[in-house]
Amino acid sequence: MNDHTVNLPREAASLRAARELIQIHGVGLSAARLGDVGLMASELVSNALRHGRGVITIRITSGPDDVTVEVADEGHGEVAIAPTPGVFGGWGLRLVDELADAWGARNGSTRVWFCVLLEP
Amino acid sequence: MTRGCLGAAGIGGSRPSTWVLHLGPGSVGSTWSAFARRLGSLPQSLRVAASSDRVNLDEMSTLLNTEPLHFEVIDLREPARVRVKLRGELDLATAGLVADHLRRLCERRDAVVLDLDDLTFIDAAGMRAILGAAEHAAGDGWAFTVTRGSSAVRRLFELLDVDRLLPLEAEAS
Repeated sequence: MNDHTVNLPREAASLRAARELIQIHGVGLSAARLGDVGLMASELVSNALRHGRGVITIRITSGPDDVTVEVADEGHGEVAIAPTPGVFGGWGLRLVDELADAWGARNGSTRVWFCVLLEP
Repeated sequence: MTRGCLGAAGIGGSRPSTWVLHLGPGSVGSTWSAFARRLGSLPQSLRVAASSDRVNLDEMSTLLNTEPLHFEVIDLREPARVRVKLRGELDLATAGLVADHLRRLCERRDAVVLDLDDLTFIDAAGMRAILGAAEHAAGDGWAFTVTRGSSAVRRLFELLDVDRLLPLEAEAS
């Protein structure tokens, strides 16, 4: 079991940083799935940049059967989350909903996680 | 101002037909506006001759070498239209730049084909910028089309089922 937690500054460059962390720590994922996980992680960091507050933390946990990514910030989590896209929002979570094997939120919307199963 | 850089091509003639904008990580709008101030008032978006004496080329080349480039916008003048080629990674950090650039071209009434074939990454924010331009074009008759795009673009557009919202360029035969 590998468990990596990294604090990301509240700036746009953290989007790339999150994707690079997935490349490094997404152990066991196929190339295509690695792209999907990078996209989902990037979307969650995007949401944290747009709606959250304070430092953004990304945690990547990879085990023998799955990889879990959680993105947290220091906001109050009052932003409603739902994968229902409008013209200007909601697309990111819909992507997570489409691509992840499971996902959810803790503490309001301040901690959003998703999980993908490794292909046998 | 240390991030990002701006280069220009289009030597020969007083009006360059091609310009290139390079962005490093985290540069979003600040680099752009800083350069815009340095370059003075720039009607018709950006006209930078490669040899322009208003640009400090030494500083520019220093910037070019300091950070890797992750995203760039390239305008290629084609007969009766501009091909706007996006290269690299289009995300929330760079989507605003694309939206602003397309808005300027729309205001000039330049026919645009947005070339997404060289994007190695695109996220929902990038897609929103493109959808926004498409929606605007549908409303006011601006000639705007997009290419089918790279595999990353195809993946995202198919997942979100947005092809029907986009004026796709006819396939080249």
